[in-house]
Parts: sequence; C-alpha cells; structure tokens
Amino acid sequence: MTANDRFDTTLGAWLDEGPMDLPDVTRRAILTSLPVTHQARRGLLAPGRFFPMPTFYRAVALVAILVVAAGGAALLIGRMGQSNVAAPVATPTTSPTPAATPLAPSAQPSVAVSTPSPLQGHTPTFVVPFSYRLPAGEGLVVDDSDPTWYQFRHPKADGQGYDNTIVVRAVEGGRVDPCAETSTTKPMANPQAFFDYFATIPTMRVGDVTPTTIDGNRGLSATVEFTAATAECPDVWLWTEEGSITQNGGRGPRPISIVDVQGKHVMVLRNGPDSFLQKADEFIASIRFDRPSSSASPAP
Amino acid sequence: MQAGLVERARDGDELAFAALVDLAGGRCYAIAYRILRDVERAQDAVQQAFLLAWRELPKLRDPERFDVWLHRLLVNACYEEFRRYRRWSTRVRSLPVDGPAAPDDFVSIDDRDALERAFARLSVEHRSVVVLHHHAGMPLASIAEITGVPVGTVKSRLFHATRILRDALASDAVENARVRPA
Repeated sequence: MTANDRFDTTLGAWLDEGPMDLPDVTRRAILTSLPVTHQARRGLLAPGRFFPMPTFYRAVALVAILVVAAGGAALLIGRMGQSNVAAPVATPTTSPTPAATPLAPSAQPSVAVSTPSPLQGHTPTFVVPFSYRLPAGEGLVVDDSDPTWYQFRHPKADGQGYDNTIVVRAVEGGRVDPCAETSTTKPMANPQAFFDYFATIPTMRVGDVTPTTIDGNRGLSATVEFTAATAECPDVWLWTEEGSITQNGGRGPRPISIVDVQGKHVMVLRNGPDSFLQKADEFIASIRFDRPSSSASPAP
Repeated sequence: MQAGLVERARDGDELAFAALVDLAGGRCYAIAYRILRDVERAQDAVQQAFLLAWRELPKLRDPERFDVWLHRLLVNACYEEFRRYRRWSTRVRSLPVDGPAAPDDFVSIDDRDALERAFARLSVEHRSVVVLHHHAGMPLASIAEITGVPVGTVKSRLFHATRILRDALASDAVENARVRPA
C-alpha cells in the first residue's frame, strides 16, 4: 500500500465515523415548521432565480439605488438653481471636503485612474517568490483566499456573480499523466516546453502560439480549449501544482500566456466574454514584477 | 420517483416534502456534521436548508435538479453556521452522540486527533470540498456546481486541504516515533 493509499484510507475511515441518520428531533422540527412556513409564489412573467440572491448583492443593489436616487436629487436641485446662479467653473483643484455624493463605479472617469491595486506591494510568497505590482484596480475583485494562486474578476453588470476570470500563478511544470490526479510531476524548462506538453494531452487543443512579453519577460501566448471528457481522461490535472485550469468542454478557447520571470514560470490565464478579454489584456500589460534588488524597496 | 415528489412538494404537498426529508435527510445531516464537526450546528444547518428548500421550492424549475439545489442550500447553511459560531467553536467541541461508527483500531486515536486538529484549521470552504469529495464521493464538477466556484478552484481547495491533512498525519507519525521509539 502506498503512502497515498494509506492516507486516503485513513481519511476516508475518519470521515466515515460519526452519525449517518437524521435525528428524529430535527426531522420533527422541520416537518412541524412546514405549515407555518409559506412557500414562495411567483407570477408566470416574474423573473425567477435558481438560487436566492445573496445578502451581499442585496446590500450592493440597495447602495446602488441610493446612489442613483441621491444623484438624481442633486441633479434636479442643480437644475432648479441654474436660472439665477452662474454655472460653476470646473477646476481640477482638490476640495477640502469630500464630495457629498459618491459616483457609482460605472460613472467614474475611465482615464487617469491611479487607485492602487489591492495587490500593490503584496508579496505572494507561496506562489511567486517575488512581488508584483498592478497600477490600477479597474474595478477588479481579487480572490486571494487560496495561497497557491491569485484570481482577478470583474463583477457582471447585474451584480450576479462573474462570468470572467484572470488567474495568475507560478507553475513549475506538468504531470507525466495529466489525466491522473496521482501522477508523478514533470518539471518544465521553459515556456516552449509547456506548450509542447499541452499538445500531447488528448483532450486539449492549442492554437495560435505566438511570442509574448509581460513587463519585458519573454514567453509564449496561445489559445487553449478543452474538449469533452472521455473515459480515458475524465479530468485534466494540468500542473505540478493544482488548480486554475481544468477540463470544461464546450467553453471555447481561452488565451493563456506563460513567461519566465527570474527563473520561474508565471502563467496567466484569461477566461470570459470578448469585452472582458480586452480588459484582461490591459490588466496584464500593467503587471510589473519587482526585481530582486528592489524587492525590499518601495515601488517607483 | 423523487422528481414526482419534488413536483408535488412544489405544489405545497407537505407529505411529499416529508418523504423528501426522509430520502435526503440522513445524507444531508451526515455531510453537515462532517463539515461542522458539531452535532447541534449540523442539526441547525440541515433544518435551515430544508426549510429554505420548502420555501423556495416553487422557484425550482427543473425537479431533476433538486439534489444539486438542496446540497447547495445545505453547504450555504453550513457556511452560515460555521461563521456564526466560529468565535467560540474553536474552544468548544461537541462529540458525536452516536459515537464512532468504525472500530477504534481502524483509525488510531493518534491519527484521529491529528486529523481533528488539522481539520479544525481548515476554512469551511476547504472542509466542504474535502467532505463532498472524500465522504460523499461527489465528482469535482458536481462539487463546483454545489459550492458555486469553478472546478479549478475546487481542485485547488482539495489540493490545499489534502496537503494540510497529510502533513498533520505525517508530523504526528514522526512525533510518535520520537516519543515511542521502536
């Protein structure tokens, strides 16, 4: 029995311990609550949701409504006063007091954004042994809950989640058998080796391999696409490290770039509608990797 | 058969819903207990999930998707319970009232303690993935659908959680070897 088998057996046995049947007290509590719990009803034309709206998005929607209402009120008051008052001169000078009505993110100017990224100065020591900087947040939400990779997303217009993602992570190599989770790993020497490796995976299609750079670091870009799972390859375990890309047949090609940075391979994967891919490209172009000698000093 | 029960329950049939509770309740409770490691919290999470399911059932368009939908409600209820009681749950630990189902010598006491301690360090999101995969035997795609994250994230969480649990067992073995040399 291998160490993996022994671990799986021990974990499985430990998880199998414990209750398996719903206690009577809980069953009774559920059933006695039914008569006093009204079922939701909706009209034929009412929009339905498969899952209830999360509290966070309700709060966001409420704030957005209040902002629009306040903005409308301010506009109305401004127009009413315009007949007797000269129009204010717009100046770039800063006001000592903050604006009374904050602009919604979509109404903010799209130029000269200098908001620091939440990752500015951040050193994701596990993923990349050097820090990198992103000069503009651009409304992207950072998911750094997992220590092995970073994910950047832009909320959908209706606030209902995301249909896009940019994944940034350091990758050491692939697997001898990428269709097996327990396969031994295979380090890669350079970006070309990664794309050669991709070409050997039966459920993966690679196209348009072209040279690329990120912050002056050379590598390759391509589009990758996964076909439907097969019995021989039900899932793809692509990297030496885990996560970030898998087999989802029918999702269409996604751009991927791998560049060498200070002896490490950094992978950037984009996925989403065309409008987001353009934003993703701008975001990637803004990445600045710290040099070893300046890693301890502040950003220029 | 289950789809018929779901359709009847969707139309307000309490007996049909009771049958669904009998069909899925045990499995839901087993999952909730293993994520939360607490009998009372697991009971609360299951009750919350089923009552929400009863309330929102008319909005479920495809009865065939009831299982996935219910499991998602359950996992979300576990997240909520976990966060509600996180402050003191690290100090207070309930023991299962039914006792261990497996004989003690199958998982050693040392291994069990090591796993309990390591599992307690995992986030509820990581716990959920471990339980759904290793206990409920669900494929990664189903777990992704239930937890509402991409399959890649599920893999990553599973990898991270497995490494922590594996390290805990390994370090425990080393410690035991040091304390009790052969």
